[in-house]
Amino acid sequence: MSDFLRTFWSTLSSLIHRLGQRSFPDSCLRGIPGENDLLEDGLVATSVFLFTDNHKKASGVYEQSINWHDDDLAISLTLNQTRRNGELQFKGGVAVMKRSRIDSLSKLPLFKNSLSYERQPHLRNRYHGNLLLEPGFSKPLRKAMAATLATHVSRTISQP
Amino acid sequence: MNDEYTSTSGSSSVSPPLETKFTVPLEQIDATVGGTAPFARKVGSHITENARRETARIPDRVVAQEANEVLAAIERTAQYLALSGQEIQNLPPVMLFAQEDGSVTIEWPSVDYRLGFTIEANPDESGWYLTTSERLGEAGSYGYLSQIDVRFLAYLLVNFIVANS
Repeated sequence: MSDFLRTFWSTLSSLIHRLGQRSFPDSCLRGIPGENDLLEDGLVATSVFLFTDNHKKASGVYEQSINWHDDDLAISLTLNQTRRNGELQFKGGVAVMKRSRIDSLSKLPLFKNSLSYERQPHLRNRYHGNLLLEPGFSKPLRKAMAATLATHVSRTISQP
Repeated sequence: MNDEYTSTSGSSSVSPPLETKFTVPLEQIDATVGGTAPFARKVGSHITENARRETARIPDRVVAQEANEVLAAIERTAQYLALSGQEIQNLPPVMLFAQEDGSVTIEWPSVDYRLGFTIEANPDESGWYLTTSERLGEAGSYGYLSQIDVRFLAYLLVNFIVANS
């Protein structure tokens, strides 16, 4: 029976994943971890968009968690995400990034077509996805990329 | 390692020798602002005073020292521009961000651009960047601090701030 459940679960997860790759909404949501990461005038700290060595796929591709803005529930889900200790995960709120901006930025010489995204839904968060960066970029360049992404945030949503 | 200046057209170039870049030699800049002119020292200090206070809290003293050198280069440029008649009182203050990995970022964040210096525990990984919004042409440049005179870099970048303030 447990084998059946495992197989069922694996098949269901795979189906959810495949369905999710078909389409993307106009924008995605990047959580802003700390209150200090939301600057004056609604600007977002560069570090919010930094691709780090701590977050890589097995292939070496860098990834940053996002939630896809499929509907307004995605915003409330993101704002209310909590850590294991019950604290809000994104005390600074949410940064909204237009997908068309991500596509444009990836074509710039700084990014060399290395920036992309994916859906990665799971049972507790069907909106989940990732910004992806191909491997092989130096730390100064990754920080320049983070600054560029932060500059192109379309708007921020603070915690109520 | 060479600094890469990557324009929106996709071209990149290695930086030319320092002596061809300055209309005023670096030594004259230092002589102009290195004296006992309290007016010159006070003017422009608003740009870095908050960041200066933050450097005292950087646990890695090597990173703190490099951060202070960058701030000194910014101050020197601001003072020179003030003595040259430029209006710098409206220049925004630079911000210092301490990162979880022990590195530090000294940055001017604004709606239309981000200009920053990244100070790493390994000096060979320290860098700088300038990136602009769609309105300012989506320009993007970056480089390594180890391969450029930080005084020249500060002169270039602070002038960009002045032109866009």
